[in-house]
Parts: sequence; structure tokens; C-alpha cells
Amino acid sequence: METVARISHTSALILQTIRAGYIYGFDIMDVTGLPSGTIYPALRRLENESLLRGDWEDSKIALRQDRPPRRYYKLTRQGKDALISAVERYPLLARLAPEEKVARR
Amino acid sequence: MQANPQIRLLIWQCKFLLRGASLLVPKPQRAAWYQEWFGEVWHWLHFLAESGRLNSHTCVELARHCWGAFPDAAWHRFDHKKVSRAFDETPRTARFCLSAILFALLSLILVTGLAPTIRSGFKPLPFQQPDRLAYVSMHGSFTKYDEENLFREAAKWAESSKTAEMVAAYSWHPVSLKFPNDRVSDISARVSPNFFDLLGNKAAMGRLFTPADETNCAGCVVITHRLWEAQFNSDRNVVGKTISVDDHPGSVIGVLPESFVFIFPEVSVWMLPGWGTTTNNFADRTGAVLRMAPHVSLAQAQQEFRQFAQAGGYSQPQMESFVSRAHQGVKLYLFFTVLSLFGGIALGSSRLGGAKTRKLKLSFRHTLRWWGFFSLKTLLLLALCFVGSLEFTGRVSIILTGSVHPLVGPFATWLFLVTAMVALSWSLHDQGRRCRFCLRRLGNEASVGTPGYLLLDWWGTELVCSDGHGLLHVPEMKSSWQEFDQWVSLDESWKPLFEHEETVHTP
Repeated sequence: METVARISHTSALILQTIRAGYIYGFDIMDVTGLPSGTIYPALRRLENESLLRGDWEDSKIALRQDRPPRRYYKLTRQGKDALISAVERYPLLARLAPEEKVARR
Repeated sequence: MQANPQIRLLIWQCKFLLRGASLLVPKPQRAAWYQEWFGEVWHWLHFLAESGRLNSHTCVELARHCWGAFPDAAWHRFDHKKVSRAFDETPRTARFCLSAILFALLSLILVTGLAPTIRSGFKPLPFQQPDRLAYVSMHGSFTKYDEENLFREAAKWAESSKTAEMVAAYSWHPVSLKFPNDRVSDISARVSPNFFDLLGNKAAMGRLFTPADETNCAGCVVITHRLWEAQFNSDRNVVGKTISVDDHPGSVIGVLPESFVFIFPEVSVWMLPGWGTTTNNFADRTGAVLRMAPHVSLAQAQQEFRQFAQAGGYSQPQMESFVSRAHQGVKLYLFFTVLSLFGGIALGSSRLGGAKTRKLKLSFRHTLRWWGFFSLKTLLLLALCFVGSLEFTGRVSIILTGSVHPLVGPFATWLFLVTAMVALSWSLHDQGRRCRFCLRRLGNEASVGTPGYLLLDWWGTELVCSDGHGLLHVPEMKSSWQEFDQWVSLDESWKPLFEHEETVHTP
């Protein structure tokens, strides 16, 4: 039997923001207005529950530009399913969702 | 890339915070965690600097962002599910129960100033040959006694006694002491002139009473070391200074040694009988102390002094050897503790002796743990009651009446007995609600059955061990005095029901 993760409103908002193209911690924080103390633990939990996947930026690119690499997040298939289910449960989530953004890398 | 000094300083400050927070993160994840946070901060800071938005307001925002690293790091260290489970489970453990009682006991000892009443009981008595001393009191009577009469009688007893070398009378009462800068309520004692001589005490400063003082020095006062320190600032020239006792001026002739305690430590001023007449209506406030002659037993002295006291008009005189009240208290505690433990074990055994529980095969180790925990818990609880009763009753009396009331002793004993019974009942009840194997307090109470069908079916509450060792059936209404709570052990096949899931998924 296929299971769909049950997520909180905050988690759903974060998933929605990532789907809109805001894919790293600061960007998500900037868009949602949630504090860093909420965003990062939520990202860890969602990653632990396999709803998100975090990948490090290619270190060569970062090294060439003399800056530290960043960690980018993207939704997994379970994450997308969980978000669809959450949008059904939280109809107002669609109104809070940020506009789509072209991922800046 | 060469950063300007302001950015370098901000990065250094952020690094400091992040490094601090990273200590919370478990070592294997620490480097990656730090790298992500530092990357975020670095990019944010440079974005602010490049866009010209680096100001005091955004610096505060950045600092707030960095402080957010602490909850994130804590999340890594303490998984919130594990933490909430720990909060729920830890108070159920036997270790927590014992630690909580021990903590309460230690706190109580600290609050009372390291239990001075009990400590004084373990110190050697500050008298010469204390085994030869005894005191006469008139317990069990509320007849009003004239103190002067007792002082006269004591002198007569000393003359005619064949069992005592010396006899001295004492009486005590609350007084008001006035000092140049202070006025306090305290306790004073009036004693026969040979009182300190009889006890064999020497003054720490100045001198103590002599028989000649009765006529020559009626206003002489001896003070305790405590009063000398508190009211005379440990003045070496205290001898000769005046002290006002109930608005009568007195002259200090000596200071008692620090170790001196007679009857109880609150008495701070010692005076001669000529100070004034007071009629005491409590037997405990008057008495006589005697030094027995060599080779005279306590029983012989008791027989003689009982006759003396009765001839003097004192009803129910009582004579005891000179042991401290704290020693008597410790004896009472030990006696009641042993009684409670045996009683508790007997009661607990019968409660656990229900039909279902007899089938329970506990290993020797588990049985030892079970009764060991019960004994230790009960001992600590009784110690808590003992310290509380003994230390607080005296203090409450001083707060309420300004003196140690004569009924404090019996009240402390009764308070100990009552609180000890409550503690023992709770200890037994708590033991009955614990898992027979892991000693955890049982939980997840579920009401089973229907009250209306009592005759047809069982009605009661079921409690479960969170580790799945067994169930406890507690009947709501006992049909006979032999019906006890029933323990049912669960075998390995039940284990999957009690495994703790880390994630919750809905179908």
C-alpha cells in the first residue's frame, strides 16, 4: 500500500516554496518569512522523511569563484505527493505560495 | 576575493556563533552542518554588501539568523520525538523515582541549614561524664508549678539524696532581649547556681555561676556563644556589658562554649532564680538535673527521686538518663523504619499473591531488584518525613510563638508517624503500579468492561508496561478481600506492538 506522508502546514509551505524554485535555506527564509530556527530543522526533518533531497553545489564551481559551496534542496517524488495531499488539506496554502522563480545557481 | 574589514569582522562574529552552535551537532554531521550554515551566511552577507543594503538593521537580521543555528543544531542532537518520548518515559523509571526523592531529601536538608537538630544529636554531649547525669521532668501533667518551689525542693533533694552527688533545678521561658540597636524575642533559662558546676562546663570567656552569686550577683547573666556572635559582634570585652531581659537590666559575666547545648539549642540567656518569679503551666518547662554518685544505677536514682518528687507535690515525675532528644528521635526513626519495611513487605507480598501473579516466575535478580527498589524508596521517604518533622516543628513554633513550645517534641513525633504512614501507603501503591520486570510505572490506562454487567463480566482498568512486559488488571470493585490487582506477563509475540516508530505515516 502506497503511503503519503502527513505533514504540517509549515512543512507544506516549505515544500511549496522549494517547488517554486527557491531552493536554499536563505531564499526559503526570505520568501516565507519564517525564522532560520524553524526553516533549517524543518528542512532536516523533511530530508529525513525522504520528502526532500539536499545536494551540495559542485565544489569546483564554488572554488573557482572563491566562495563556499551551497546546499540546494529539491522535492522527491514522495515530497511532491505529500505536497499535493497537503494542498488538498490546506486550501489557503495556494494563496500563500510564492511565484515561480528561475533557480539561481 | 578580498573582503572589506567590516565584512571580515561580521564573518568572524558569525563564525564564532556558528562554531559555538556546531558543538551541539553530533561529530559525524558537524562539518557538513557547519559548511551549509557558513555558506548561507557568507552568501547573504556578500549579497547585502554588493547590493548596498548592509546597515545596522540588516546586521541585526543576520545576527538573528545566526542564532537560529542553535535550534537547528539542537534538532540534530535531540530529535524532538526522542525528547518528547524521554519526557514521557523518564519520570516512569525507578531511577527517576529514587532520584526525585533523594533530591527532595537533600533540598530539605539544605533548606534547614544542614539539619542542625539532627546533627546536634550525633555530637558528643558537652558535659563531663554525661553517663552519670540524669534529669527529672514532670511529664503528662498540666498542673501549674511554682518555679521557686522547684528550686527550693532541688536544694532539699541535694541534701537528703543518697544516690545523687549534686542536684540543680532549671526552668525556661520566652523573653524579650533589648540591645542598643536591636530587640529580639528569645528563650532564657533560670538555673540553680551550681547548675554549670554540676554539668562540668567551663566558660569560654569570663566565668559561670557560683553558689555565692545567688546573694551577691542576682542580675548576673551568662550568654551563649551564638548570642555573643550575633548581638555583641564577637566582642572580646563583652564581660561587664549590660543586657536588658524583659526590661530588667542584667550584667554579662561570661560566655558559654560554642558546643554547649542543654535540652535544646534555642536557649540563649542563662540567669539565676532570683531574677523574677514565673509560674509555668507546662511540665516540660521546669525540671531538675542531677549527677549520680559513683556506683549508683539509674534505677536506684529513679526510685529515690520519684519519691522526692511525689513528696514535693509533683504528679507523674519521670526520670531519664541524659541522652539527647535527637538520639531518641533516631531510635524512633530506626524502629519505625524497620517496622514499616517489614509491614510493607508483608503487605506487598500478599497483594502480589493473587492467583494470576503466583504464576509469575520472577528470576532471583528481578525479585531482588523489586524488593530492593521498594526498600530503598521507603527508606528515603521515611528519612524525608523524619528530617521534615524534626527540623520544621521547632522552627514553626519559634516563628509562631517566639519560643520552642513544650508540645513541639510530641508533635514532631506524631507528625513523623502520620507522614510516615502516608509515605508508606504511597510507596506500596506506587509499587503496585509498576512493571514487575523493568520497574517502570505502568501507563496507557484503559477502562475495560461495562459497569452494568459487573456480575457477567469483569470491569476495571488495565495498565500497560510501555516496554511490553505485561498488563495489570485493576478491578474497579473488588468482589472479595482476596481479590487483588492481577499481573499478566506478555510473551515475545506481543513485542512488535510496543516498538516505537520514528515516523508516522497515514495509509
